[in-house]
Amino acid sequence: MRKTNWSQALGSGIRWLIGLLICIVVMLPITWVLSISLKPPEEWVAYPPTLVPIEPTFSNYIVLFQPGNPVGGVSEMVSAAQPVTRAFVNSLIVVPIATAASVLIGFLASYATVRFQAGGATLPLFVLTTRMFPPVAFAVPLLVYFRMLNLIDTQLALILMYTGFTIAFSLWMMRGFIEGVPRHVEEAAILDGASPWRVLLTITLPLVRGGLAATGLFVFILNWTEFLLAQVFTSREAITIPVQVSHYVGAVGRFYGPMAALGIVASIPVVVAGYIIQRYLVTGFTFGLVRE
Amino acid sequence: MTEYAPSLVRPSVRNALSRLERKLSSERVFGIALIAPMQLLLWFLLIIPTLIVIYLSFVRWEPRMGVDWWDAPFAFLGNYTRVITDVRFWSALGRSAGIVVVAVTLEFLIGMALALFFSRSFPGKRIMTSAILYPMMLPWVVVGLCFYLLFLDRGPVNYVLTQILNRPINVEWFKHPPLAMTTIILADVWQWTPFLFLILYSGLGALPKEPVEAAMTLGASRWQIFRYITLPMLKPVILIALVIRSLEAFKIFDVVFIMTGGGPGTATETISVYIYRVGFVFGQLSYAAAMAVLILVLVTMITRMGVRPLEK
Amino acid sequence: MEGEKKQTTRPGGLTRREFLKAGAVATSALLFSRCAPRATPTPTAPPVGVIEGATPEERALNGIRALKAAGVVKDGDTFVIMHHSGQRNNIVPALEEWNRLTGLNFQSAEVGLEADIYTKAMNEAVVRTGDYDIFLTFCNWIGDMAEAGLIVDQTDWWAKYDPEVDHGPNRYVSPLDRFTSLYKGRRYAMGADNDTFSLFYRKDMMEDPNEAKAFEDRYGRKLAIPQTWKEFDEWIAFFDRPNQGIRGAHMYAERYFAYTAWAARFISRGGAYFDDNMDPLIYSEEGVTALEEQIRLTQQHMWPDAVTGDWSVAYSRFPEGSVFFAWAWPSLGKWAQDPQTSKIAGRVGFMDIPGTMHNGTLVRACPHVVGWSFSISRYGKAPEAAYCFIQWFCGPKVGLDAIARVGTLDCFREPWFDAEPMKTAYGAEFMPVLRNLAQNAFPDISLRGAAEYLDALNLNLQQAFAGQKDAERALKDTAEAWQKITDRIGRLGQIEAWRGERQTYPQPIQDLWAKLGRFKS
Repeated sequence: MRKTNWSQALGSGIRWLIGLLICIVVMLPITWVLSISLKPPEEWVAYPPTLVPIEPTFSNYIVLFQPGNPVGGVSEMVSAAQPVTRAFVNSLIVVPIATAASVLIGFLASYATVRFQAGGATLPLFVLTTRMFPPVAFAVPLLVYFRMLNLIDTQLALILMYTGFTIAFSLWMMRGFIEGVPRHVEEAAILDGASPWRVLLTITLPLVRGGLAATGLFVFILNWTEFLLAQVFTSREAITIPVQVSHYVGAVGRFYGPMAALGIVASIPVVVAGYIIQRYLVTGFTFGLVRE
Repeated sequence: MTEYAPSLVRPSVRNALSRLERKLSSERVFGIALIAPMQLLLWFLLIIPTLIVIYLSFVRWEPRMGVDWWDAPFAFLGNYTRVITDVRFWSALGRSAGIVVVAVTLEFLIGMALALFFSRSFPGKRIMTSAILYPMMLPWVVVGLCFYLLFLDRGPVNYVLTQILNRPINVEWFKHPPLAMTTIILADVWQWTPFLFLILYSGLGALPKEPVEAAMTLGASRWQIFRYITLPMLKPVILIALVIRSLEAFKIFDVVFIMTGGGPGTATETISVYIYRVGFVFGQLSYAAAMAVLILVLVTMITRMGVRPLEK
Repeated sequence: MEGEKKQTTRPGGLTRREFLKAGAVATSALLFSRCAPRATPTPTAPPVGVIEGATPEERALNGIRALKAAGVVKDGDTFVIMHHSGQRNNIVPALEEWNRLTGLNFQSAEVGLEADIYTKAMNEAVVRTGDYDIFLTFCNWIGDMAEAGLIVDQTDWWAKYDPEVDHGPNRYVSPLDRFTSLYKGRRYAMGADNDTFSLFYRKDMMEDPNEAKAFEDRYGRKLAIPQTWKEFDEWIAFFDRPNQGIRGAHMYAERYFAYTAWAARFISRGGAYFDDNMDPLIYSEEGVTALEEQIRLTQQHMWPDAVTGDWSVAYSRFPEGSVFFAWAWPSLGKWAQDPQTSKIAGRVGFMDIPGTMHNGTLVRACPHVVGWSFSISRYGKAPEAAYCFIQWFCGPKVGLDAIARVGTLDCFREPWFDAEPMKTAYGAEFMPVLRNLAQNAFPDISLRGAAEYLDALNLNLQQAFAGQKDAERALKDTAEAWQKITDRIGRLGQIEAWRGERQTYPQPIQDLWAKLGRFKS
């Protein structure tokens, strides 16, 4: 049954509307964060709460990068704070590297465990147990261990830990996507004489692009927002953005303004990454390369 | 190398079998090469600390005792018996389990609905997808603070309710245990539904179109297609998403800590918050280690049951 | 095909055993190749004589000179102070000046969450990286840190350098000189703060003649600042005006500070946390009555967020004018009087804490809540040099400048209460009141496991305030929990520590205990 053109357009339009409503509902708490980030201190918890600041100000944002700049009442309290650049640099180094490593290693291992049951049938479950420990229980032993390796307060330590702790994700998330690639596609290539590496990289990899993108984004987010391990393992040199957020406290409690501002600013790289990978979350591609 | 009795097997099959053997042995090397980086990393990173945790659970050690951890006195099963009889531990565990069940179910249902909705194209879809994914991208600290501020007694939620219902509404969200729990679940659902959405959406996108098109030409309804074709094909992805998300929801910590600190009293104290308190605030690292080991065992057993359908 | 049965895994992988072996070898090889030398505790030389200098700051600087001459430190040596973000403004400018004066390189490592300071400090006790030289922590953590072997006994250095803490014209307000630094009779820390809870109320409402008349009509006595807790409760009830959007009071009933109001009543009634056997004394008539009074006050005359909000609620409610009375740290006074942050600037009154009458004597007890003090890490590179810094920072002149800056540290030396910078910051009327309050200040539980005792107490008290438990039950549960904690930590050690701690309480309270025969000595 073919739809007429305008009923299709109407369908699209309705979808657009519903989509918009959904987005608005989802973004409501975020608008509150945004609102706080533009408010001066006396409005942060004022009553009645207003969505639009009575006296909007950019001082919370400025304070992040130029703590000594006397803009608004906030800066007096954070005037000796470190600018966020160090935290940004650390996060921008540690997180992409750890994410790439995790996804890559996880993808390779996932392929091997799915196709060949490499390492035994229970290896994936064994790997999954790394996510079952509440990290707080792990922190001190890890600390002792990293102390032995002289890696406290270094970027390398964070990279290692973030990679190690997210490998379980990469392994398991890719699993479903790899299982979705029919074996006969790969076997056909093998019978054609391709080496296993070739099959992996030229056949399977393109077919699971969507999975890689989704996994990569998710691991990126996990690492970008991770707080506990970063807090325990860094003191001055290697602090990351979430740790920096926690520094905006003062004599009278938390400085919600700069925290909100940093939250917004810190989410920009992630949003950009998310927008870019959408290209790979393609709907409905076919397995047209199968030769019958 | 096995010998095939020549008379029993035809030459072409014999060739195929020896080719298979070649493939197997190079596959073996291949397999090792693929998992080696992961194995190395995991063993390097996690084995020693895990051994330390297990060791700690069998001794009685707290830093404030002033002895080194390797000199700590043995407690054998003392910590474990203490855990098993610790009411606060079991209630925390129950709370965490409850949060998992409620939050993950909600996240799945909403995520699935969103994924289906977004699987058809319409104008502005890409931007809206980005918007939907946004909650995941904020640091936990910020999400926790955001919801804390939203549900303050004089916060926007109460204010909006007052305006809408035209009566002064002053729900004390953080004073009544069920309400406090609700705010936490809300925060978790808000933050992590995008995750379920993302996985299901990309899962849907990777499905082959032919079966769906075939079913449509056969006259199946949308619901039937979804129920009998899409859903079964999506099963591995769904199960994995649920397992991963459940494990994470079980360990929920930052949001709870910032919003309620586990309160009022211990009404929202999840297992991670309790272990944090015991290990970091009270300094009883041995006891925390025993709890962690116990949780590991429990969760492994449960996950195994959930994952078994996947291994078929 | 029998040959295939040898391996237990499918093709493509190692057997578990082979893999375990390889893993063990690889791991141990890696470990031994990168083992870092463990930071050993720096041996501290016995004090040699006494250092010269007219002021504590001068002596500290002379100390550094002597240490340099002895080769213990040299120019450019890095020292790290771990502190809370809230003190950044107090500390960092001082660090810069110190570095200028001494040629050393003192750096700040700040931490955002108070709980994380404790965590990091105790972690340092375990891993001993030597990354931190000085800790600025809550006073009541000193017990844990000392017993963990993390911090150094400073008593001999006090003798050598004389920080003028407990004697002289520049001395700290007593008893702050005692409980912010002593543990088991030795100096393990140096106080850098005064967190005696301070009481604030709306002066304009008090001075309104209509109010005075209404009060007299109702209670038959003149409207005046309440001196006893009973008068206080009536006073708050009188000024509770829900229909005008002003509640009577804001006193903490939340997860971390619920104990403050109860403890103030309880101690002023002659109560004490423990007896000489470390058995809790809180489940007693004084304790239960004190709690019942406070529960009534909370449930009838306060906003709900006294129970559910966090500690910063006082800092928003009082300055915006939605409560008549609030108490918190002295900084609330600063906050409420600053026109930039407060709607009631110029209308803030200060008062002494109410007490309890005992045969004609009024005994007051004011909680000193948290409060920061410096301690020196045993694993730092030159603990004595680190000590010189903290003596310099807390000195009469340097400290005054540091504290006057906006931050969480407050005024603790006697002469500072009359100093201009302080009067400008807090308000001239407030300083004498603060001094009085400090003289009646009693410390938090500072024993080993302090956090556990307080957690059990706050847990139950918050439940009582929220209406989930009654007062008796709450205190009984707390007492039981405390007994378990004490047994687990080691009763004998706790008895010794508690004996030391109760001797740091203000003299009037100790006298009251003596009269009531609470303790043997």
